Amino acid sequence: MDKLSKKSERFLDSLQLYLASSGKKEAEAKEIVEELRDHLTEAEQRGKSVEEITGDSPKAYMEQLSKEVSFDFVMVAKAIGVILFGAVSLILLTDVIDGGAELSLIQIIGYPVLFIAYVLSLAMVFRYLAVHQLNKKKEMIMLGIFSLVKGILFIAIITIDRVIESPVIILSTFGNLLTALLAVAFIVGASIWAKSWIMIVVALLLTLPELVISFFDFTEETGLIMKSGFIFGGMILFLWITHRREKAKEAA
Amino acid sequence: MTTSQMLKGILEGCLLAIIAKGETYGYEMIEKLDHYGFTMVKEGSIYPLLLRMKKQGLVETSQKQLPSGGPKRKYYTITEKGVEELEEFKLRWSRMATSVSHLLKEEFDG
Repeated sequence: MDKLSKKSERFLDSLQLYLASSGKKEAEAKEIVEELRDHLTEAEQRGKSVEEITGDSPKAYMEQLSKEVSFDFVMVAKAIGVILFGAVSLILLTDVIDGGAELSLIQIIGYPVLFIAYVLSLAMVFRYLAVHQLNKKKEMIMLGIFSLVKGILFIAIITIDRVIESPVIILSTFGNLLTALLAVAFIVGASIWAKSWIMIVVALLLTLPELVISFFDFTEETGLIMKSGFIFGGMILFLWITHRREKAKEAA
Repeated sequence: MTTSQMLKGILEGCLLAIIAKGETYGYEMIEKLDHYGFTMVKEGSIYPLLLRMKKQGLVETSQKQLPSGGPKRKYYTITEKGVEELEEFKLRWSRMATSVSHLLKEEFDG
């Protein structure tokens, strides 16, 4: 099979990203990307370039195609639901292990709003990246700034919560146990649904160190340092293993 | 109706006419359009139209394995509804073409 030029591959990747982050039906999006791949292969064999296919503006062309691909409402709703409940489950689970869940009104409203805003704006960032085809470095910087803003907003909620008093729900021992069970059930269920280990890994990274450290008699400071080291180390290890697996798959 | 909408309507009718001649795929349609002198058509512009025509039930698609191996290719065939639409397009077009040439001829003679 003939290989496509890098520029064409890049265009197809961008188109796929654009359609996916616009919440379009995956099967339809894949079909049109494959059809264009076929077209580009023939066109390149005859010495044509990707511009002759997309016209002057890849952005306009992507938008034009996107208009004809159906929006997948069910999938988008499911994805937002899983991310939202997944995040809430993780927060509650760490709270329970950390000595009991305590949720204030500000947290109960703030976290879901933040997560939905996060998912929607992440989709917007991906669409922007797809359309503008920035280089890898600029792409990383943009995503970096984006996660920084998300982190700041997260801290903002915690700070507002400390400064302003709002009604607090404190769970009983039974309530804590039930919450933990529900959270674990959701995380496992969502992981099976999404066929991904990521949520289970994050849950373990967030909870295991706390449990292990609580068995030993460390000072608070040592405990904190060990915990964050464990979380970062574990995350890097997980990403590295996933990366190697992907590479092995590609090679096969 | 804006100019680009009118052009899209004409291109859609032409694509239907090409698909009506027998099963075909994207790149081949472009070659056929080229052959008839439609060199102003940007290659990519047929795909949004084909997507819409499929949704409207004017054409059907099937994936076929190429004899040379590699990925599958998407072929288009016309449906009954597509044939009806093509007949309507022919009617619309001949009416429009008659009016335009009538007008231009008068202008020329006058």
